[in-house]
Amino acid sequence: MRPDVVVVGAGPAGLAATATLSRHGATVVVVDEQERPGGQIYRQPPAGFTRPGGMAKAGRALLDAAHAAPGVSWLPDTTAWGVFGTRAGLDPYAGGEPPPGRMRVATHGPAGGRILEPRALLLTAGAYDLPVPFPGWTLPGVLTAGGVQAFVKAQGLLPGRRFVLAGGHPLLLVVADQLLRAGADVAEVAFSQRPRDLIPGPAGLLAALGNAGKVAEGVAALRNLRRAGVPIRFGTVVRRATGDPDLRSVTLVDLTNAGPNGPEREIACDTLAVGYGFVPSTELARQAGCAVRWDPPAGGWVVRHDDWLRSSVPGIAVAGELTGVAGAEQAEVEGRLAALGTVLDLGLLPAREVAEHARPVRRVLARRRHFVSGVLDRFAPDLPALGALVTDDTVLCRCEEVRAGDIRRAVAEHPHLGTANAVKLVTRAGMGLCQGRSCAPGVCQLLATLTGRTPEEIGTFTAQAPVKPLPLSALAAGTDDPTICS
Amino acid sequence: MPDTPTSTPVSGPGPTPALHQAGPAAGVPAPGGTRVPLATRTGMELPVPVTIDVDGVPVTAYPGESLASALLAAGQRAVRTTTSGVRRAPYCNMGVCFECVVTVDGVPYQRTCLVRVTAGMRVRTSVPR
Repeated sequence: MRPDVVVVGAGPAGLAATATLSRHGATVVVVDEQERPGGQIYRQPPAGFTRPGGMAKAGRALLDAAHAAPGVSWLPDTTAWGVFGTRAGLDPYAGGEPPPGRMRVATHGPAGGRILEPRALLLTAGAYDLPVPFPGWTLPGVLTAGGVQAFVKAQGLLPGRRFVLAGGHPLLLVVADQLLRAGADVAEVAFSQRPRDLIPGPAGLLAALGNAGKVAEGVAALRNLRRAGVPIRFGTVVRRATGDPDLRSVTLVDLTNAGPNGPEREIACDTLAVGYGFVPSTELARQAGCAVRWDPPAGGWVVRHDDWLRSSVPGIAVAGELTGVAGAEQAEVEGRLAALGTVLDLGLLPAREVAEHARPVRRVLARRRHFVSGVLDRFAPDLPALGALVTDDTVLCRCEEVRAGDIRRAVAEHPHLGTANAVKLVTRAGMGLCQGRSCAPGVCQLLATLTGRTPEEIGTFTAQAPVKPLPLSALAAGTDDPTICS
Repeated sequence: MPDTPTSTPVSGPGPTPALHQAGPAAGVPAPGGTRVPLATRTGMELPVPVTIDVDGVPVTAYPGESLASALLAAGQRAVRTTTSGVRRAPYCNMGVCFECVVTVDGVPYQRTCLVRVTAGMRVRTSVPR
């Protein structure tokens, strides 16, 4: 397929971009791993399931506009696993010469492997819950807050009976309220922020939800939880999760100035939802060669871009959480702007007209950015404090079962190990099925603590194609292009 | 599709009788060695259920739901064991962490959070009985 644009990710940014691109005459292929578009925030229930009340108006409008857009092909249940032909001389698989023709986006889906050759690529892959390791976090029954919410909202499944929610993101309040309404017993909601961090009080936390509509949702959730008598505590983190064979209780501890050293409380529960914030899904952008920068309040590594949201790689733009985690409404606006930048680059409209279309979009974007700036700084997860929860026995790399102690020993034996990649080679952390998505933050934090180096010096694991596992048959069948599978 | 006469309205917590009609015979442990499901159906009108095969045991599930949901609803919390023998279950539930992988119809490493239930699907977990 040779569309004008490939959009990877059908959440708010991707949907808004798709509608804008189509309106200005571009042909678009949208690649998404889910069955139905919407992303995590507007995730739709399975076909054949009916959710009374339906979906949020903003999500419905986005989906309707994207579905009605002409010239758009949808590839659901499909993973975009590599971008090729973008880095002549740098990409060893591309050879020394600039690659001929268009960039190639390799995908794998129900029909097998397929190579797309767009003129431009827009990456809107969103974000996922920050994985925070602590003793017992691999027990069945410990899930991310986003994972619990997906069960309740999108699948109509209450995944347990008695819940504890812990973390630092106001999404916890929204999820706790949804659990309560679904009939769950919510034993406690524990926020890591101390009361003095929350200016002007706990309600200030809600601003981190990213926009006025979400803040209202958070305020309503907070009211319902208080009315139901659910304890909401601050300055409290999960010290450990225990149970055999599955989760039976969590031990919460108060944060003091010296770290998580306050009195401990053990609470019986069968499900723990952990939500400290979100990590941008930058793996495909990094694999394609897009430059990133370290921005902790925005979720860690984010993709560098210019004022049209163009990345450092010609032909590749980014929008939404990849530019920094800021929520659905900002993602939608960024999707529009990145689409207009792509329309400009493809020469589909005169520059003057594109600038006119972009002016109101930029105005809205400036307003959104003003709303979230400052708020994000205050509610960014305190990574060193969370790192203090890790014991030598704590598994950091879930896939390869590499413990913090293994990494500590490797660094002691090889003091020259100063980067995430070097530690990966020695310990296998980050080499498993998830390719480091679950362990990179924890491993890098531990390395920072052990070596005293900065996050920029430590870096993160190099993203390699395929960025998600795929069967060999997908490589064999997808292309006859020797630069991809030789 | 919605509100067809055959759809089963389910609201609020509580056991879902349809889930266990096709469960294991008395005395046979449920898949994964777990007992009464902790998970319950909530707030969604569901389609007509189907039967899938989980490690040789018939399990009732709803077509289109994620395999992760079906297994949890059937009382199976862990879906795989690691090479060192530790139980693991869905963690991110959105295709990122690969903790929930099983073999589906002979294809290994399928993420239960993304795979959708279809009638007769054969699922092999690596959780010992």
